Amino acid sequence: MDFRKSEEQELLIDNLRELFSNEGLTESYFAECDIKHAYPEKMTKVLLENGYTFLGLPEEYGGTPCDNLTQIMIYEEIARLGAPVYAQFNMYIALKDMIEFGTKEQMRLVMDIAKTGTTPLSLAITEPQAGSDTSAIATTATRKNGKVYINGHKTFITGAGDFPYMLCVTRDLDNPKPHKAMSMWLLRNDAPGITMRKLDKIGTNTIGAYEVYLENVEIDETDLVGAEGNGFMQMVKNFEFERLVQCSYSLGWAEAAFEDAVRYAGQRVQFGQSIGSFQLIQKKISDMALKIENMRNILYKTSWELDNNIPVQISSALTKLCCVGPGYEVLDDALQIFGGIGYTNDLRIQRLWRDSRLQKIAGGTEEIMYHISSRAIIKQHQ
Amino acid sequence: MKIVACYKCVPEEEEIKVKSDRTLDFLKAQWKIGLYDLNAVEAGMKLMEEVGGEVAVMTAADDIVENSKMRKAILSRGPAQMYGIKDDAMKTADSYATAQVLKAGIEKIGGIDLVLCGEGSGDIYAQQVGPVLGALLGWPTVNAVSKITPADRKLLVERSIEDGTEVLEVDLPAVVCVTSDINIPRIPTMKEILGAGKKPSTIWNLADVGAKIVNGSDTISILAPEQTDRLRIIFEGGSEENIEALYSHLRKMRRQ
Amino acid sequence: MNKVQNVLVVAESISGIAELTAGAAALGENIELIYAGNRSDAVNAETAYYLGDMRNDTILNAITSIVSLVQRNKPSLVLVESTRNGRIISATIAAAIGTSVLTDPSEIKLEEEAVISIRMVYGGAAFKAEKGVGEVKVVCVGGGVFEAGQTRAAGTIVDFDMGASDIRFVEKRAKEGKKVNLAAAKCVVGVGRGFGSEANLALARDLADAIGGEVGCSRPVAEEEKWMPKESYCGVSGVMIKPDVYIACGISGQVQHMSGVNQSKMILAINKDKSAPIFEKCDYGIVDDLKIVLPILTQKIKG
Repeated sequence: MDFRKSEEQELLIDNLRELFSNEGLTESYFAECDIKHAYPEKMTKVLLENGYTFLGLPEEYGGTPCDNLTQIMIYEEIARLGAPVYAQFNMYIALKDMIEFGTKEQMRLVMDIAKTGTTPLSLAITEPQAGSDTSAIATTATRKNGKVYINGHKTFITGAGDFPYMLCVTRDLDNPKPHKAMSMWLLRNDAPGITMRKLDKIGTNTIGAYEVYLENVEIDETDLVGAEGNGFMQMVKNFEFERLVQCSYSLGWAEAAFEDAVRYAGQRVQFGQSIGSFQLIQKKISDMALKIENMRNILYKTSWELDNNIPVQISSALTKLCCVGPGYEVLDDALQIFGGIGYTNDLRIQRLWRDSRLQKIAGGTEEIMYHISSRAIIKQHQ
Repeated sequence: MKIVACYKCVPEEEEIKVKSDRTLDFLKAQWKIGLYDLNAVEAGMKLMEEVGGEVAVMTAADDIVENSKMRKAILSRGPAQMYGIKDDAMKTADSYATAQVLKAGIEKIGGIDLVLCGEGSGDIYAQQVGPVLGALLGWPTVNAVSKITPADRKLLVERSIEDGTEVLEVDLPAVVCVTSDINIPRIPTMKEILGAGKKPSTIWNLADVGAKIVNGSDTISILAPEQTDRLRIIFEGGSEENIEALYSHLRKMRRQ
Repeated sequence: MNKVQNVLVVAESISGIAELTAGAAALGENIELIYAGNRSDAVNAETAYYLGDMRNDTILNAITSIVSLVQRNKPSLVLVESTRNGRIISATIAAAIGTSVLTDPSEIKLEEEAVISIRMVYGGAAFKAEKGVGEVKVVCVGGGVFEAGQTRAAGTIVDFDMGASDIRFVEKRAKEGKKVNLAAAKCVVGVGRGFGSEANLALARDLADAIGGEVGCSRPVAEEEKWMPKESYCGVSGVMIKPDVYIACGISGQVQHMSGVNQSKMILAINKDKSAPIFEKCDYGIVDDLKIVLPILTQKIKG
């Protein structure tokens, strides 16, 4: 079994490093974006101009066809450099979703925006009473006088206030089968009837999350994305790949923190020796290395499965369990190795630690991953 | 315009180790395309984009010629194809020998209008292969070129020489060695990297091109310099005392 | 050490002519010189061939005639001044006679009849000792390798026909700004990326003025940031300096730069990054922001 990266993958990663270094996408830039809660415009522009933004999209949309594994390696590298890689998350997801379900018109609209480097749309799914339990979604789409009216309350919507459009999931409350009752609609984020409140998060500062109130927001039938009632299936279609993308962030950040911490452990002297010579620190270091190794292996394997049309329902959930929790533990151990200075804003470890903590919650909580995987595993064995 | 840019794969200098007998150990050093060669390739690409034609790249070396990653690394910079002349003796070939082999390659391809070279190779930096190649081909040869303007069957070149800028006109075919500030080599796009492996590569041996490796010099030794031990007295922080201390050492040296 | 019989020097600058002919005198019995510039620049040679002032032509057009002279006179050793033109002149001579040019030696010596050149390779990681093959050796020598010393007048000066032109001269634009001779400077202040902006270079110039030195730089400062001209770049593919004192400011200390400056008698370093490689390669260093340290140091020197 050849576990080596292909030459193309190596070249792409070398290039990415050179690009970030040449274009001033360095730690001080990332830190500045985080402190200022500023969207990383420069990074977005560089990724767009060099073809990374549309990686994996078909050529007819200006993309570069690329296998999932290579894409994952690239996101991992961007994270490993310490960059706010998650700021680009919606771009990939939005475009992949629209290619699957959008009409030609909708796709053209979205691509025109994407080409300027702006993420075209946010994904408005979650509601105060509907997080893991998507069947509790209560936002509705009501038809009246030839128009459609959206009413509801969404929350934790990444980029709702920043991206011009919103893919809003509604449910037909009269349908007894909630997962067959959802629909997706394309809304302008500044449509009359929409008000927003930005949430005050503890991390992933470069992209906002919003509470969105929708009061009789008027749209047209043509704003339906995909098939009516098929919204849930559409939503989960790309979930598996999204999970892997999140894992690549956890992996990259863990690798970055690990490098910082190991170097420090070799330099920091207490009691007349480097702290790296104390057993409890040594245990942390080996555990961190072990977790990173496991994260990388399962992530690459599952990406390979996806590329080879092997079902990844179970393996993508297990991959997320292997990556987001242990990945956060690596971040936490790294911060501990740094001691007091790890707790200050002078080092990047605190930013990576805050940002990676979200991965255990967003895009499907760890608890849900356990539920999905074990239910399917048990079913397999019947 | 039919253009050939010559290149050389060199070891990453930072990864070269020095053995206890002061000889060099290249085992852990990664290969890379010589930095200045990328300027030559980029210059060729820009000319081709301006007047049409084709850019190919050529190298003469030992097994590294066939190294797949190196081939993709250079082809991802834009050239249409790559030619490699491979022979083990190239490992110890000097600039004169290398130029002879490249000349044979250029003549075998035939119909070349312009050969582009970098300032010098990334490892030995003798800055000779380009000029010797031009002399052997018998073509007008210029170096230190910081700007190239194509015209019909000729080039207007600007050379950055010691006392200023010299503007010359040379007829094609010609050999042009470019400076490192003539351009900033493009960073390959995703598409270019993924497509590089599909571009044609032609590998020849010496007999194929009718060349022999004849060195014009002998290497006596390659040794790391004796270690000048520097004092390495480092002051943390620019305090008044520290700067005063630094200044007193400086004063002592200048008084001598 | 047996001197060789005849040495031919090809040079186009006053310092090149003086230094190379002095070097030729140390290595050989008879000296001939082919030169450009002012007719009166010829020194030290028994016979000097004058090409002209090159105001409206390029010395590259004289190469065919130069090669013919070499083939006729068969000197044992040809020393060509290592200018950009010199590289082509030497290459063409060597190609015609079937030898390799020994370029940019930091040292040249005679061992029995062999001319040995020692030069820096692999970005400064090593020195290569090499010698030429064949009856005629060709060496391309830069400034500072030979000492000009006392010059004596040249013997016969002959006008030398450039011959047919194969390259058309269009124009020459002189360089602006004063010429700096970094290779001969006794004190050099090195400017690195750590200065942050072109405006801050004034701090380096103030320091250099205070110590009576010159300002050099690292490659990124010349080629990428373009805050200083290429001629100021000290390093493996730039100027090699040998001052008494070299003060590296905001320079990280990569081998490509250090190989151009590590023949300095004393190296001082100022850099705010404690882990910069320069601190392994200097005699004295201060870890702090150069914008703070330089003005204070300059003030102390001014007294």
